[in-house]
Amino acid sequence: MNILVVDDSLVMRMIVEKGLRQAGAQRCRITHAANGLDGLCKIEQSEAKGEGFDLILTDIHMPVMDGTQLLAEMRQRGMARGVPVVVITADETGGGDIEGFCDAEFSRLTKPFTMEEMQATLSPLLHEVAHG
Amino acid sequence: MAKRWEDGLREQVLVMDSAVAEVFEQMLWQTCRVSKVDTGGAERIRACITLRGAQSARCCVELPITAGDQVADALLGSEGDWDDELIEDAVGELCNMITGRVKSRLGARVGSGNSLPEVVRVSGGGIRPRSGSFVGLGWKPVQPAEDATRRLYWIGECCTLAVSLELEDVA
Repeated sequence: MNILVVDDSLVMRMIVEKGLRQAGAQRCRITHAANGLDGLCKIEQSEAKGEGFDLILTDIHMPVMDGTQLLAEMRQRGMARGVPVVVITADETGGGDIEGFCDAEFSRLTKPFTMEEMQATLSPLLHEVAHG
Repeated sequence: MAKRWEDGLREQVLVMDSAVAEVFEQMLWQTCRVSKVDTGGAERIRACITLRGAQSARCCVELPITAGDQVADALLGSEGDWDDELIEDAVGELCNMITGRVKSRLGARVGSGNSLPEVVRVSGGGIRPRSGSFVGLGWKPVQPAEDATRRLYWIGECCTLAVSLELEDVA
């Protein structure tokens, strides 16, 4: 399973990776991206190799390209179709109609969160992705 | 007029205390304790986020470098020999989460436009931008206003975190 974590904060990406590993993604390949454009490039590169991502977790407020723009670009370019998205953000009302840009399962995890809350959100998704 | 001002101030204090408590308990594994003393520190890290909209707001956090190290340890769940960039990132993320909780509590009264955290180092020698960042010649660091509501909270046993909140009049 390939997972993409998009956040301009390295600390946040490390926390999310740790949460993913504890939620059941011990053997998954987790790729980091520092903003929406970096994330878009990583998706393009992965899909060009015939792999793609199975789950995408993204922040909203980022430099260069924010999370809403990332999902809008993914949709416009037909990238990561059907891939579940989890938005991880401190801004619980931010992102406008970000969910509208997602054509697959969409979840929102608001910071701050406990490890238990993170796992409660991620574990079912990981299970679903792993078992179709 | 005076009572309305006091009520407004009281509300800001309640908002700040509950926002900081939530972040401390869920992400730093600490109980939030208000301090009346600023432990200071020769070199400090400050992070500010501005919310722009019908009523703008600015939330800043500031703490000594040593406490920044503790924040990184707590967020990442282990002690480490973190470099300056990561510690500054951790403080920026702390500001991000506190501001998010403040914004949630103030609701539609504050703007929906979040700036990214501006993180700087403050010392006797002045203010400089975060490690590895590039700024223009006319760069001026974002600073909390002198009349911003300011609260102090213990980080661990030795240091205090200063949180300031100002509503409106944000340049």
